[in-house]
Amino acid sequence: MRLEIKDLYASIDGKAIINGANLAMNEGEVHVIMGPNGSGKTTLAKAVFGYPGVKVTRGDVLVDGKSILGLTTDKRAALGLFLGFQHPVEIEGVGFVNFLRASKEAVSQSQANMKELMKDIKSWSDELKMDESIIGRALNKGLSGGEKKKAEILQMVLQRPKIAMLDEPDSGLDIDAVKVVAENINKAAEQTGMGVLVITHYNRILSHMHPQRVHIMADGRMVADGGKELIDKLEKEGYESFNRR
Amino acid sequence: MPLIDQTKFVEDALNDYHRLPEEGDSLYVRRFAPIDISIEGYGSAGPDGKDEKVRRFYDELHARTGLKFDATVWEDGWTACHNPALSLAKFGDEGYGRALSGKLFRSGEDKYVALLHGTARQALMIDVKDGMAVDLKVLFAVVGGSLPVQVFINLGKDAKLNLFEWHASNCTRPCFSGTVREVKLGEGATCEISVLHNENSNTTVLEHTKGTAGEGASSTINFVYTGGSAVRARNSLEASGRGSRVRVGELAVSSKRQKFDLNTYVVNAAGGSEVRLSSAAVAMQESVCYLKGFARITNGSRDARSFVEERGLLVDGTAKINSIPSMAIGENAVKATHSSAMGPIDQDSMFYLMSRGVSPEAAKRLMVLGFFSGPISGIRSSLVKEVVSSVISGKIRSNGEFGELPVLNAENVIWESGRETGMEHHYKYRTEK
Ligand SMILES: Nc1ncnc2c1ncn2[C@@H]1O[C@H](COP(=O)(O)OP(=O)(O)OP(=O)(O)O)[C@@H](O)[C@H]1O
Ligand SMILES: [Mg+2]
Repeated sequence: MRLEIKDLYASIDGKAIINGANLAMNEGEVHVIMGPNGSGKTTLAKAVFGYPGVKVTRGDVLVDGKSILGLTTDKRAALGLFLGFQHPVEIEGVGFVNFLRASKEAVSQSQANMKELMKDIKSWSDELKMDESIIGRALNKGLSGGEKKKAEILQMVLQRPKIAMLDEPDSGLDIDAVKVVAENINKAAEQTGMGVLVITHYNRILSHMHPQRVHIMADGRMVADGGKELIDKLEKEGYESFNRR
Repeated sequence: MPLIDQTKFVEDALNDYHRLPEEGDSLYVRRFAPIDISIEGYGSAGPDGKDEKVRRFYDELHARTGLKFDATVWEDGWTACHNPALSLAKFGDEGYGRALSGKLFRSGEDKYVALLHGTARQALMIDVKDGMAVDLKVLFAVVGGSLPVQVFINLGKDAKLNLFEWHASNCTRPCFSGTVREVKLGEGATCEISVLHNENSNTTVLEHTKGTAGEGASSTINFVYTGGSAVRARNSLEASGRGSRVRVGELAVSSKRQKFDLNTYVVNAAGGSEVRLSSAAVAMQESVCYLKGFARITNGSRDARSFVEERGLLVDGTAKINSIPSMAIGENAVKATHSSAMGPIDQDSMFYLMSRGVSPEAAKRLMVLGFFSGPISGIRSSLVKEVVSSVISGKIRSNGEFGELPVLNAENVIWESGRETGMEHHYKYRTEK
């Protein structure tokens, strides 16, 4: 799978937020988006997934050369895209397992084998060092910030996407948890050959991963694209140096 | 020989089943346009051959759900197992009801209750003797014409009753499915009664329950409204004895221009009594749902506790849910809360579910079932839990169709009661199959 964001403009309530964003990546690759607060990273992810509140005004999002802008969110997911949320939504009364099953069945277009699903949930939640009790709970309800982030990764591995966009999978995680999450992302990517697009503010998670491309975003567009060296530059000089470019 | 003196019964009813007090107040009148049900055209006698129709209806329901009922009641007959707690009284005079109804409609009292009393030709009696425990499932099948029925439930001292009533209709002409139910719990008695209305669109549902609970008694009544072109419910339940507890759950799903007018009156009439009314409604497709919970604590009911909760979820912009919180407290040393929350389906939740590939329809279904998870978890009988969640999810799945006999398929979920597992909203999976 190839995902391309082409000269994309998008607005929220008539306010322009994304101003000509560009990005292209393939299955199997690891990309990183970094950028200051409010630069539009989350909005870009939402635009790719067709969030109703984000209106695309120009440009295109392509999967394998075909525009996906006409597709509803669920159809985009069915193509093999996954979005890990910066702020996972808590949903009253929707059981975590019931939801995992619904999503698995929707994406695979077949009835889920519950025994196998439960086994997968068990083994991956062990890997992620998650408390098993979350399985019996309502979706994200009452989970701590870190638990929610782990639950997003659990959903990702069960869904086996082709390209996963992970919006700050490391925020709110303790040092050990960051490592666990990064390792599990790597493991899932190795097993399935999926591509990963990580949105983050921090070096730490990246030190456990091997990104090929780094994109720096400011004011709704990419202001720099390059290799890992951009991360070091950012660390030394901050976002100022990119803005001035 | 009729077992009940119907003349006396109807006269008593005139005194007892008067309009609920709040129906007269101006706020109510302004907000709740009454659902006026034309009584013309609701003849009670249907065509012949009903016995055969009922049998086919029962067989189909059994084939789809595997459920076995202890009794089936239809317009002019019933079949039942030989449970000593269960009996049916028939009223002899066929013309009696009609003659009487003319008189009743002029009385200014609740004409729908009068209609039911005036036209009912049979009464189901459930009598649980002191210390006995009875578990019953009853099917009310409307197959040819209107089915007005009186149900008397009487629990002796420390008696226990677990009752499930399924009210269904496949009637092909305009009719009503009407129940006047009286529930009396003796001292220390316990019951869980669940009433499911799943009638088709030719049917108007009339539901009238009056209940009292004696000292230390504990009564749980769940009403589930999914069927009928219109539903008019007037229920009045009282925690009458010291330390008695009354819980009323109302679950409603309205679609396709259905009109639900649900009015429940709960009363604390004794010291240390507890009343809990929780109503949850989901509305879509130009349907209207009025949720009216009215709580009263009588003077002298010290340390009474009264909780009323009304919640509404609008699945689309065309439906309406109306609720007004009301409470009348005639005693100081009490604890009372009343809450009401209505809102549309949350767009972010919808996006979250859909981003995982879940279709908009399935996402709505998940959220509707999620919305009902609290009230469904509160139902103790796991069979009723399964039936109720199947009927609700079936209604959402079929895009608002109602009245069809559902297949029991609670999406493989078995709801566990919060009390049993110590965990709210916890459900367990059946992995076999
Ligand atoms: N619903 C909204 N209404 C109005 N403005 C919004 C809305 N959502 C986001 N914005 C604005 O869009 C801009 C980009 O927000 P976005 O969440 O995409 O930033 P971000 O790069 O993800 O930031 P962070 O690193 O803090 O997560 C911000 O200025 C924000 O205030
Ligand atoms: Mg963000």
